[in-house]
Amino acid sequence: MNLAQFKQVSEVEWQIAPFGKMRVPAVIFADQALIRDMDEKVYEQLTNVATLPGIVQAAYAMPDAHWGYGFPIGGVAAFDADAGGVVSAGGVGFDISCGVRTLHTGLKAADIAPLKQRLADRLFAHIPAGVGSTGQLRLNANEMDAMLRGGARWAVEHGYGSAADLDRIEEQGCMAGAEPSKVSDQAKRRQRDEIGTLGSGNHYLELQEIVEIYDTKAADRFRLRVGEVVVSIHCGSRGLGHQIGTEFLKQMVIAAPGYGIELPDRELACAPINAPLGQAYLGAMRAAINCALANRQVIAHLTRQVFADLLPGTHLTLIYDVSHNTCKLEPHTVDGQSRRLYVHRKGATRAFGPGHPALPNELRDIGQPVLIGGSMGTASYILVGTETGMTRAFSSACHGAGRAMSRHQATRQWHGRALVDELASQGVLIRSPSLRGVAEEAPGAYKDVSAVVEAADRAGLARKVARLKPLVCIKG
Amino acid sequence: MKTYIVGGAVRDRLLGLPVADRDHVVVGATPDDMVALGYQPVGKDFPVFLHPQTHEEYALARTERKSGHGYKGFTVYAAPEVTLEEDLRRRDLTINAMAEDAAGALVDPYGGQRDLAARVFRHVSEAFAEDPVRILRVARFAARFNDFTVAPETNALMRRMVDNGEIDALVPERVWQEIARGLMEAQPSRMFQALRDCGALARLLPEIDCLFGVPQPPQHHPEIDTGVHVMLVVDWAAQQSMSLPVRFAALTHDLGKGVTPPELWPAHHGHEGKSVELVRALCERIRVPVDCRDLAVAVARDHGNAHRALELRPGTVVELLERVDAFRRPDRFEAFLQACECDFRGRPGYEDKPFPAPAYLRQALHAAQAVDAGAVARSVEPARIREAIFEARARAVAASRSQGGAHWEHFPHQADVGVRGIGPTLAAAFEQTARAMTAVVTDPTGVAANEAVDIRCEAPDDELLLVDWLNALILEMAARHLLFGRFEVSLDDHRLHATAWGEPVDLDKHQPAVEIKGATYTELKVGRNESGQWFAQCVVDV
Repeated sequence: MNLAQFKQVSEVEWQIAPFGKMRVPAVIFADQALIRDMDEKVYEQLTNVATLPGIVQAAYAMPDAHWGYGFPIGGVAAFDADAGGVVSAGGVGFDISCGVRTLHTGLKAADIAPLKQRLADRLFAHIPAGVGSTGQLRLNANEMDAMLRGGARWAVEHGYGSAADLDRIEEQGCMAGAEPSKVSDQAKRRQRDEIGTLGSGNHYLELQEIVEIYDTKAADRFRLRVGEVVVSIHCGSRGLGHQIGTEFLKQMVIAAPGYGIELPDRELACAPINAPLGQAYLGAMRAAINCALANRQVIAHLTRQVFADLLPGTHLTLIYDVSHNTCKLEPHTVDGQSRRLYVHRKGATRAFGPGHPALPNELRDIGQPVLIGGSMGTASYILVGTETGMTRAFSSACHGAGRAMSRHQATRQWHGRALVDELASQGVLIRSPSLRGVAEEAPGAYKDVSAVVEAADRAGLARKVARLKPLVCIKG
Repeated sequence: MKTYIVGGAVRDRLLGLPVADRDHVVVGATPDDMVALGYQPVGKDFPVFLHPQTHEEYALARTERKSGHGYKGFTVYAAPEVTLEEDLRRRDLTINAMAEDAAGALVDPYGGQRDLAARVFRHVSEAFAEDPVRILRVARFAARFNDFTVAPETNALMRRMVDNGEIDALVPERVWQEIARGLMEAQPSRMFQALRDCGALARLLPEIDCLFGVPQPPQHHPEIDTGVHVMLVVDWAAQQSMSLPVRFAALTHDLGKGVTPPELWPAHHGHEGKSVELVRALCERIRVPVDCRDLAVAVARDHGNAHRALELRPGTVVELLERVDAFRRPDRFEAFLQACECDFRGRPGYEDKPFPAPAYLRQALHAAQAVDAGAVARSVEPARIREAIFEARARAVAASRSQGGAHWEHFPHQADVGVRGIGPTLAAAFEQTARAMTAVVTDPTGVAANEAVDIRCEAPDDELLLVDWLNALILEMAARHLLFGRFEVSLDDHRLHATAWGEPVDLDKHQPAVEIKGATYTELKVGRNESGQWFAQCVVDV
């Protein structure tokens, strides 16, 4: 992007003063190299978001921002229901509550080295991944509604994992206010046999080695030690979330003129939070959040089964579970006043700092773990929410690397088989049902996640704690 | 003895770019010291060693003095008393003349950091003029670091090197090597611009230089200037991560326009034939490898026919396929189509325009390949075999065309994929868009029509109807775990009724790349293109 269109506030903060119909400024957190490489569409989409009714403080973009649907991916915006604020299906995205959870294995990389191939093969065989895959569970109508109300708690009640996991999940594993009745039959039909499946695209399950610690105090509290192995699971609400996104987007496009909302871009479709359509979407979207939480809880259970089988006595304990496509009602202090705001995070991670009441007791004084997934074969990071982050971008941080190149371009540059072999020679085992899918997700097709994390750290959104290196990647 | 990281690694780290190779300079050591430490000597002309473990390059600090013409005429002086500053001084640009010691401290005697911040290529000293390859290197850097500019005094120095004939001492292999590397950078046009700015382009590649200022018909070329067009084409090829042969073909496809007599401007009838001769001569002169040459010749000769593909008679299409050797070399044919598409897109306003020719030619090849040449050969007398196969292929192309040229294509989106269907009717375009969507997941021709699913939808306008149609298919694909390969759509006043045929997903057979989450309103357009065909397009989220 052309840097001349911004006012540079600091080395990593760039502001666009309101113009035209913008109600608030737009702010991008990124270093010079990242912002220069960002698509012009981020500028256009972020300034569009700033025109929406009831937006509070500013429209924000994280360092990994790129061209999304209506909202940029990596966009954060908060709305006040009492000031005519809106909720936007595009501002949450199609893959509602897509997120990452990371579990501790307590094992050293050296312990699993002789079993790496077998672990990779068994995880790939045990965890359904890729197009058309189905899970073990078949949900009837009642079970479906119970799952959509209960989230990870529902999964625990059905024997997937333990109650101790729930403390380490946002919303204690169960999003309140979910209304399964607002979820269409089609959406439920898409989900009948998809619980416990990874999906495809950029979704994965990885075994990762902790290779570097930046913040020993936080690392101690998260029990992260160099040389140890963790499991990270990246997936979302599967077909149910996609269908909810699709259906409400259309309803909001059609209804917007009736609410007097002028849309600069149809994908920005939204409805007043207090209107029946806004409330219906919130009820359905929260049900989809529960679906994602249940899904990751079941996949974590399947992972535990594989470890218990190959490495008896291993206990996988949950470090944390974050979601990065959500809209949540949260208290935030704006201009010295506490307000309850509907915070949209589209490709952005919640990052509560120390002392936040929503954090479990054992993490409250240190802050929330912020899990950042890299692309296949590259580093991932664990960060921690900060005091300063709470005053910027409504406690939000980046969520990953972000694509730098289209899928077509990627398949022209890389071949799946060669890529798998090359990564294997670097000690990263890839298992995937689709070689073309692997080529489309080539590490080189993504931006440098380290640069993104560095910028988030320097902007004070969250603080770097540890860097992880992949050992095994099960690719959807 | 002290070692430093030098050159590109230091520059790239300061720019925040990934560092691929690290070069080291060793001060205060003799070759014997290095060998004693286990380093392996490799340099022929000057003392360079490989580290025993990392195998990174370590060179002894040295000075170089010009002793003859060209880039080989140097006297090298390496000795323990040569200082780091002296070694850095012989380097080309200030941004490449920085070093970092083992503790990470930066040594920057010539203002490299200042020039990085100002994004300027500035020569370190007059010694720059001793090596003409440096002109090509600066031009190549301009293509890579596309927000840097050449300092006026550096450009003036390069121009002097051109004017005094130093540039003519470059050997052809070296010119090709640098041009090829520059073509693979992010914005190759900047290399040619930098070479033009100092007058070097006219000496090294006069056939490219003379394209600037040659007008083309504005109705096909809004940019008018042929040189500008060719630069847009190579940049488009780079943006699309095309291979070197495609980028070189993009550069040379219009060389013939440079020799059109000015009185005939802006028309360039028959420029393709002249392009072929000029491409051959150029390839001969700078020793361009065979794969680059062959593709460049094919594209120079037939890019006009490719653009007109939909208007060509079936027999002419088969001749084109034969000339491009598409039957034996489908990979080269694909590269040919890519280069032709770059030629089309490299015009202002043409970036998103429908360009049906490649999909049509692919479909024609597909149809012609389906002809059983063996069976045809057995059915006629030997003297007529060639002719009979040709006729059978032409008939197959004609048959595939009678579907009204209906076809699909993908268009780029940063994170996802754009799908576009084109056909003689709106319904045919909707069918093709659905095929394009299947192609995001798997090759639609590999999906058997074993099961039929009935789909109905209704929407306030054609655009919303397209999104509904695709989303209805996505729902059926997801809920039934099916892939669809064939579609029949009928439309009646924003009401759609369709049948989709397909089969269950088979991981081994279909190798599905990715699951589609939903069709979106991004780039959503339904309408008619310039040739009167219907098109229907949007981006799908994957």
